[in-house]
Amino acid sequence: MENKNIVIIPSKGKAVALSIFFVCIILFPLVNKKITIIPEQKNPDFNYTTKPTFDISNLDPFPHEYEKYYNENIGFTAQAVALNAYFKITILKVSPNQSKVFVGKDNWLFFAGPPINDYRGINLLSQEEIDKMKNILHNRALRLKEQGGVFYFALVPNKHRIYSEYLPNNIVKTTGLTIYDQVVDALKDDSLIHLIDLRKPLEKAKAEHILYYKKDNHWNDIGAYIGYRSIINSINKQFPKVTPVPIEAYDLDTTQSLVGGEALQIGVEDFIKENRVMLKPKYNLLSQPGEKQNYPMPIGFPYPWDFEIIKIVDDPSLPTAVIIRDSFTDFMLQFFSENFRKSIFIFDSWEYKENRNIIEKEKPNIVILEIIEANIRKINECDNK
Amino acid sequence: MLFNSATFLFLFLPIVLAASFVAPAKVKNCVLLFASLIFYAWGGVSMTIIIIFSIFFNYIIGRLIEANKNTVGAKIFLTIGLIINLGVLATFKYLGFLIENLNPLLSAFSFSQIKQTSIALPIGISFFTFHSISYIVDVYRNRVTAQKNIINHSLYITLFPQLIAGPIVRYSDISEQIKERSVTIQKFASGIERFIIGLAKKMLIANAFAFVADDIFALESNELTTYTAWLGTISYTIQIYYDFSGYSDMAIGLGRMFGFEFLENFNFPYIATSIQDFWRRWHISLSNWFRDYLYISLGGNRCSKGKVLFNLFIVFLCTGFWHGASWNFIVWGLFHGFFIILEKVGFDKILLRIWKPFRHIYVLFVVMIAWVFFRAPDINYAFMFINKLFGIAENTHQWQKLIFYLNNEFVICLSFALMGAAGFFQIVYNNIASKIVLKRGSVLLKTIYDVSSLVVLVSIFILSIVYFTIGSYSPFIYFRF
Repeated sequence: MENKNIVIIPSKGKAVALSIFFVCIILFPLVNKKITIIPEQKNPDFNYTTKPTFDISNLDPFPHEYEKYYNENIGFTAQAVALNAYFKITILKVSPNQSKVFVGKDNWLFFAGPPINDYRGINLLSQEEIDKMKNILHNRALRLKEQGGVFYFALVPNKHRIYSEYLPNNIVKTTGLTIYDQVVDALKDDSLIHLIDLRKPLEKAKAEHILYYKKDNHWNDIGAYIGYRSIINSINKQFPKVTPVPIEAYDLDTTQSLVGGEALQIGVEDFIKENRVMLKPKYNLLSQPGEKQNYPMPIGFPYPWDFEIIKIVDDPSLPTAVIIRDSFTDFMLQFFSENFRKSIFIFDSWEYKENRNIIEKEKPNIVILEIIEANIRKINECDNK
Repeated sequence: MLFNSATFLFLFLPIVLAASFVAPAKVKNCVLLFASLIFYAWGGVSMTIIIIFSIFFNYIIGRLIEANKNTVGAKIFLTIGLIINLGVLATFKYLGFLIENLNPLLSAFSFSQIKQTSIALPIGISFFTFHSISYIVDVYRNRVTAQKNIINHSLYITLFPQLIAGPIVRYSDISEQIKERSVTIQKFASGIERFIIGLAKKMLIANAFAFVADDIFALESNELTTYTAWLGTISYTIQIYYDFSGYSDMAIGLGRMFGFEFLENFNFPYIATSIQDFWRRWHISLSNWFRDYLYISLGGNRCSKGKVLFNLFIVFLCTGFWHGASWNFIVWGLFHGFFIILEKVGFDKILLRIWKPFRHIYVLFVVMIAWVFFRAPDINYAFMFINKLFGIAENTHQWQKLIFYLNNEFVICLSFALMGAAGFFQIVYNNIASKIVLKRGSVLLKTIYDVSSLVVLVSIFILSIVYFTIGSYSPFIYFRF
């Protein structure tokens, strides 16, 4: 292999064909703008760069701005994203964007970042963080007790923990301890905090049902029901009137298709299909929408309609509850609503604060803090108000 | 402008190709010059003034040297040319580094400190400065005549395929092609083929390893384990080869599309059997430049053994420093220089007696350790990283941390990368495609070969485009220099 300047001369036929292909490909975006061959798919939520004006007195920023504009408006980005995702997932069996999503076995999708680290056990809490968390939650429970309420803490396991067998082979535990273990160990002996460890009931139920979506981060209605039943069973010890609605009261429906969060992140929503798993009540619901109190919501919360949801059941014997929650309670909301005289669901933009203004005004019998494992550090980030 | 960008491939290249083919022979160079200046200005419009100054200055110096041929005047003008060219390079590239390292000394002797500057680095300055020096020295040495035509001279300096990241084309190698060149459909297609291979090397191989290398070289000391440090080193070793040789392939391919023939810049460097051999195969145009314009000027081999070794030390010090104003690059250059000198003083004889696979291992080991200095964000990090490479297992979960990076894409890319770097595809081509199919094969066999190679080329071209369209591209490493 000497360093000779060898020019490999292709045959004339190949040379002509390759030149034609090459010219067609490099001219494609220009031609596609004139006669649409691949239709341009614009993202309605994306703030596209406008075409920069050519200002001879200020030329330096022009190339960068024009390049940005051109890249965003090239015309086939959506198709390129889909083709890339298809190639990576079907041929290479990897995620098109490993910084966002991992592709597991049988095309299960898993969010990257904290949940992966939680599973691998590489971001364990320090003793200082554990002590701070204990302190914050204990004080919340104490203040609630002083006004006559009981505090429940439900930690929803990440999909990665319950369905670890579907994680790609290169995601393995680095230690026996997990962040979930740390939280449970820290809180299990606190008499004011009623901790609900959802791992065992979910592990047990998964033998019979799929509990989480393949291409979304969330549990489905069956997983949510298992979680709900565990939480209500825990509440039942202090409030015997509160009993879970039996699963037989619901019909299973899987007709609607789901557009999963992970799938959207990597552009595979079109070719990894999945049905939504829904539990539809066979009976007339007891709960009715209640009047909103219009509590102040966190600035910039993207789902303002979800911040405060109130449900009322006309049964004075039932307790009232404030549920501080994230999106995992979306799937439990219809169940919980049937168990309390007044259910106030507060989605505080993943801040998981005490929301003392609401607690002091509503004076609930029960406060449930529901939090997904991946967000557990948020407890320490919030102030103690 | 990056070769792997939409603006280059879908706007700049079609327009320049069309203009170049339509233009009459007399104005082809004007078209290419104008296009090259646009290409350069795209990376910093106001910085274009530097390259324009360099073009005019070196044009005049070249003419003056020739006008004073074989007189003291030629030497004076050459000296002025070298001082100004190197002065401009030093000002823009090394002044900050110099001040940074001078200030502690000044304060140690109670002198007032020099205010640090923040001069932006003009893109490709190291390359066009070396092109210019090559030109004036070749004129001085009577290897070429000074270019009378300012357009042709400007085109040599600015020709866009090699302007920003090489290869460093010596004026003597290209002066005739600037005057006259031809493009046939087969030469054009061979350029396309080379361009696509280069683009694929960058997009499909180098970027896959960049993901791993970037991640590992960002780890803190407490997160870095011996196994992950080795994986990071191997990944960067592959990344930099495919990144830079991919760029060179694209440059050579683009050159061919416009009728130019640049010399090869890489020749399977990772199969070298000594560090001397490595430098005959890695960034050949830079090695040749330093050999022709520095090593030989210092006396080359025609002096005492001690002086030869000193010359080699100087050459590798400069090679390291040329890559960047940082102690990392200086140590990288001197590290290579140390082994070159070691081989020169007799280790090469020992190497020849060693079983060949061990010679390859020796070269790869030295080269990989050197790449740590090249890649690390600073010299302290580099030493910490090397310490980890040879450290005892301080972390019981090393394998688990390593396996995180080993997904299917990595394994597949690694297989292709190793085969490619070892010359496997070249051997297959030379022995099967070239000798059997194309020379002795039937028409049907030749057609099958042509169609299948066409399908592969178009597929990897489309895939590479898909990769950069979705924004997963990264800039070429050698744009920094």
